[in-house]
Amino acid sequence: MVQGSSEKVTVFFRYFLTFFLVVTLNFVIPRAMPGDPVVNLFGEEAYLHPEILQEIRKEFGLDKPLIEQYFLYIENLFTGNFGYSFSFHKPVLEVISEYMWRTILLTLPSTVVGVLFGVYVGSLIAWKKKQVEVVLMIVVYSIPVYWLGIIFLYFFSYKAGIFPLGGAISSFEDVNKLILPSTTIVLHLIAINALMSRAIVSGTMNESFIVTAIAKGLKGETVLRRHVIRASLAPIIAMSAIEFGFAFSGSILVEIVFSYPGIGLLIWEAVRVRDYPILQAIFILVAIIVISANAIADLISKAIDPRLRS
Amino acid sequence: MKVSILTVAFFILLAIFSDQVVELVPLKRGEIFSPPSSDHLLGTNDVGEDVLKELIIATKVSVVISLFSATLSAILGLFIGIFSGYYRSLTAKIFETFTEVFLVIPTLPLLIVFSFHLPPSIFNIILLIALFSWPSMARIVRARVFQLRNSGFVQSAILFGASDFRIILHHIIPNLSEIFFARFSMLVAYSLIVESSLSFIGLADPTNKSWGAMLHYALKRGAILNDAWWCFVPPGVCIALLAVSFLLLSFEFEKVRLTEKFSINK
Repeated sequence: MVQGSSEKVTVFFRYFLTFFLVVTLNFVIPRAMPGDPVVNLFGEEAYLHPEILQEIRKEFGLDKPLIEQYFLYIENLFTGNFGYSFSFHKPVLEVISEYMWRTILLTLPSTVVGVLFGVYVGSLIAWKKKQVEVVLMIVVYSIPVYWLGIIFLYFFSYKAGIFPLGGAISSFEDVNKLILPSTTIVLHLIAINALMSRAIVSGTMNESFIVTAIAKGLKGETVLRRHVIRASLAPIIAMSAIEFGFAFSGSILVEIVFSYPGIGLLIWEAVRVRDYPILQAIFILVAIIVISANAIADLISKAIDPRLRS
Repeated sequence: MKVSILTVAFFILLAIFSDQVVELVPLKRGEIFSPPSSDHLLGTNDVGEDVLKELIIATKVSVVISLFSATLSAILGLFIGIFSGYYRSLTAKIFETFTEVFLVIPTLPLLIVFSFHLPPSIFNIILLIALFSWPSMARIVRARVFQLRNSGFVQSAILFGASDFRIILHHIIPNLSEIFFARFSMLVAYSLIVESSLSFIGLADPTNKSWGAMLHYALKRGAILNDAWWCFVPPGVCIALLAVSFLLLSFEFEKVRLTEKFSINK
């Protein structure tokens, strides 16, 4: 039991370290990169609004030593003060919260469907030792997700006119604007998950307890259900949390294609007008979401698989 | 297997000889968004540039970036993986923790933030991608090295008084080749896709357009609404083809490993 608790401390320490690293990188990048740190931190437009800039300089302590700036930065982070976006004329957190929920609306259901289907397809491929399907999945995985989006947009929206060319969802009837972007993400996630879970399940099938199960005459289906899938479940759960990160990256790119006003389109816009505070805050928020998802998946997979606890 | 080697060879040769090949394509500007014809085999883009010519030049950029950043990160990952798998010092433990930590951080948003600040050049992009893609290599190498270190032949080499350097060079590294090449091929495909994504967002060097950058301009300047499929289909097909080829190669290497493992067990 003592061993178990020290393991927990290690895992906790690791996630704490990850979080610390992300936060610190976010602090260091704008200050260490070439150029004026004020411009790096707040964008060029900051100089057009001297009175707001003055206030922000004070808020972030830019005239103080770096250590003090760092503590101020941490404090600001925990109180949700991500700075001011000069191109949107709003605090950053306000801008992001306007966009973030749409991304989550797009990503969360797509991830669930993509992971479930992907794991199903992947385990089946591994169990039946299929080769053609693996190649098919590799092909789907290699297609850049945003290019798949462009092709869908071209055929289904521009040519066939079945779906709108893009835009925001404002009411319930606008759900069809979600169909093409989420289909794109789901297809991509199915391919990733199928390939990864195929690797995991094939690994399990090489274990000696599977050979034993087959040797003692269990039916194929029973071996699959009771031994293969159960033993592969924990790593698959851990994997699907990493997928959540992929889903966000995929969503960023797909939103740009479909001009779907989520985090991705916000990034596209922020890059265009060189609005750094927005990018910085998006990075830290996405990182926090992905790190938390990983921590939760770690806990779940340890809870269901006693082999990981030792 | 053969098809993917041929495709990879084709693109690498095209990248090396792109300056010469481009001269075979008639360079005169055409009408904007004109469809494929005998003058312009892949049509023209929003400023009347020949798409085929752009595509050949972009091949060089994309291939160079993906190969070099994959090589760099593979070597970095190999060293860190061997070090943290072979030694049991505190430093090795720290390297291991760093590998795990880096694996969790979402790469694309981090790269977006970094490349936003750095002047967009091919060199910077190569460095950035390499800097953030080594952990997958390090982790897989570490696991294998750890396994090898506990195996009979390494233990007996230690018993015979072989130095660490000798063991690593003669007993560990030769056993890493399939893992290394499998992961390396995967890293090339990964770098290719990451680079194209960054360029697609608009963070690329505008003077050295890659396939991703071509897609960026196609979308930004209304190729879809002008029905100009020849602007956005070819670059995407190229990215997918090259990535598929490298991933299939990686898959082949992995299969070699699995069968070898199986025959040893027998």
